[in-house]
Amino acid sequence: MARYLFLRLLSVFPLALGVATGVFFLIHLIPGDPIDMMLGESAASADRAALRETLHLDEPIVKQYGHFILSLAQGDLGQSFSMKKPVLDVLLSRYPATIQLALAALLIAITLAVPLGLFSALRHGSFSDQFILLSSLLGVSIPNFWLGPLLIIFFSLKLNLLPVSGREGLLSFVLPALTLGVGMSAILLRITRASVLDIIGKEYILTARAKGLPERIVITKHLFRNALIPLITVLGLQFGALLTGAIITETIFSWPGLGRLTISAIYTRDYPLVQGCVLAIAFTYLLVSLLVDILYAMADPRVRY
Amino acid sequence: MKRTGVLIGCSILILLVLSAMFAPILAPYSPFELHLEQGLSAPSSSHILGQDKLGRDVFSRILYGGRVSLGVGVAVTMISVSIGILVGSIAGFFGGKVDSVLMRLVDIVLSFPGILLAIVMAAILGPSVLNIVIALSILGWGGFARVIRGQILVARSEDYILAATALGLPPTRVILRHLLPNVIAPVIVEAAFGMGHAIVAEASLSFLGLGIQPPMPSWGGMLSDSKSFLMLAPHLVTVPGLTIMAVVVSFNLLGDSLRDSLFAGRGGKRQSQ
Repeated sequence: MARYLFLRLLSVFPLALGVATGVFFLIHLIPGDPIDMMLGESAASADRAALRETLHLDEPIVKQYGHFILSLAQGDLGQSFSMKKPVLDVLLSRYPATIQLALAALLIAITLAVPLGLFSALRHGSFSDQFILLSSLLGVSIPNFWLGPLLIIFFSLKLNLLPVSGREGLLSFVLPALTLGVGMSAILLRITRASVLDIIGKEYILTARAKGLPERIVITKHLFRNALIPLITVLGLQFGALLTGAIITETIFSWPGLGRLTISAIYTRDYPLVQGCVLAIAFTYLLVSLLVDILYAMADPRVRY
Repeated sequence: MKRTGVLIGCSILILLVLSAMFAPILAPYSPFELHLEQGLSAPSSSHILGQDKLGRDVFSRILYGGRVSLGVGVAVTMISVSIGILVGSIAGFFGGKVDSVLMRLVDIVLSFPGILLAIVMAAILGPSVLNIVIALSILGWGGFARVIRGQILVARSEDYILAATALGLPPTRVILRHLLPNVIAPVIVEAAFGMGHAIVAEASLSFLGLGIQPPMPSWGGMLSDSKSFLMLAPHLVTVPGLTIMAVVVSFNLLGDSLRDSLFAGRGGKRQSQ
C-alpha cells in the first residue's frame, strides 16, 4: 500500500510537467510576434515591455522554457496586467469560490444519483426504471449553458425564489450548483445502476441471500459497497468536467470563481493570468485524480501497481 | 427500447441534417435580414419561431446555424477518429516502447481538462470555424486512440492476424485490411457520443463569444444573444436550446443503442453507462 501510494505520488510530477510544458508551448508556438498576438497591436508599450520581460521573449526558446519551469516551481506565475497584482494572489482569491461551487454540485450529483441508480437497478425493467433511465438520458444531454438560463427563468424570474446571480448566502449556491451538477448526476446514476446490475448476479450476493440475511443487509452491506467502487473512478474523471463546466456556469451566474476569471482574462488579453488559470485548473484536475486513485486503492484492496 | 432508440435518434438527426443542407430552400427569410422594429417578437404565423433582438427570423437562423454546428461536429469527429485510429493502431500493433510513448502522450492529452484548452486556443488563434475545428480536434482524439489500442491488443493475437503476418504481409496491410475492420465497431459507438460532445463544445465556445462570430448564425451564439432577454423573449432561449438538446439526445440514444446491441452478446448483462 505504502509503495503504491509513493509511486502514485511520484507519477504526478511527470504529468504536471507535461501539462505545464503543453501550456508553455501552446502560448509560445503561436506564429507571429506573440506580443502582438497577445496584446493586440495597439497595446500600451509598458504592457508590451512587461510581457516581453515576463516571458523572456528575447532569449532562445529552451532558455525561456527553463525560466518558466523554474519560476513555476517557486510558485511565481508572473504579474497580471489587468489586475496589477501577482497572478498567484489573484488565483488564490478566486479559487475557493470555484471549489465550493464544484463541491456543492458534486453533493447534489451524488445525492440524486446514488439512491436513484440503486432504486432503478433493483427495479430493473420496470416502468420506474425506464423512466429514470430516460430522465438520465435527458440529464446527460442537456447543455449547462441552456439549463442555467432555464433555471433562472423559472426559479428567479417567474417564481422569484432564488437569486439570479452572484455569490451571497447559501441560496445563491442552489441554481449554479444544480446547473453544474445535473449532467454529472445523470452520468453517476447510470454508472451506479450498471454496476449494481453487474453485481446483483454475483455468487456472493446469492450466498448472502441464501444464508438468510435480511434483504436490507444484503443491499447495504454486500451490494451497495461493492457497487460504489466503479463510482469512485468515474467521480474523479467527472471532476475535471465539473471544473471546466464551472467556466460556463460561472459566466452565466456571475460567480466570482476561476472560470469567470479565465474568460475575463481572455477578453482583456491578460495572458499571464490566462496561463495561470489554465495551470490552476489543470493541476487541480491532476490532484483530484491522484486523490481518487488513493481512495480507490483503499476501497478495493485488489488494486495494485 | 433499443430499436425505438435508434429509430428516434436517426429520425431526428436525418431531419436536422436535411434541413441544414436545404436551408437556402427551406428558410422563409434570409438569416441576416434585419427588422429592428420587430425585434424580440414572439412566434407568429409569419415567423413561426419568432424573431431575435434585431428582428431576424429565428427559424431561418436555426436552419443556417445547423450547417455550422453539424458541420463542425462532423469535421471534429472525423479528424479525431482519424488521428485516434492512426495513433491507437500503431501503439496497439507494435506494442513495447512505441506503445508506452504513444500512450503517455494520450495520458497527457486526456489530462487537459475538457474544453479548457479549446477555449484558450480559440482565444489565441482567433475565432474562426477552422480554428474551432483545430482546437476541438486536438483534444478529441485521445479517447479514440485508447479504444482502438485496447481492441487491437486483444485482436492481434487472434489466429487470422497471426496467419496474415505469417504470410509475410507488411504491417500496414495487416492493420488496414485485417485488424481495423474487425475492431472498428466500438469506435463507431464512441464516434456517436463524440459527435454530441463536439457539437456541445462548439456551442459552448460560441456561447462564450469565442466561437462562431456574429452575424453568422450558430446555435450557441443564438443562446448567447438571448442572455439579456430571458424574461422578455423566452423563445430565444428555448428554441436554440431545444435544438442542441435534440441533437445531443439523438447522438446519445444512437450511441447507447449501438453499444447495447454490439456488446449484448459478449458482456451478458452489461448495461449502457
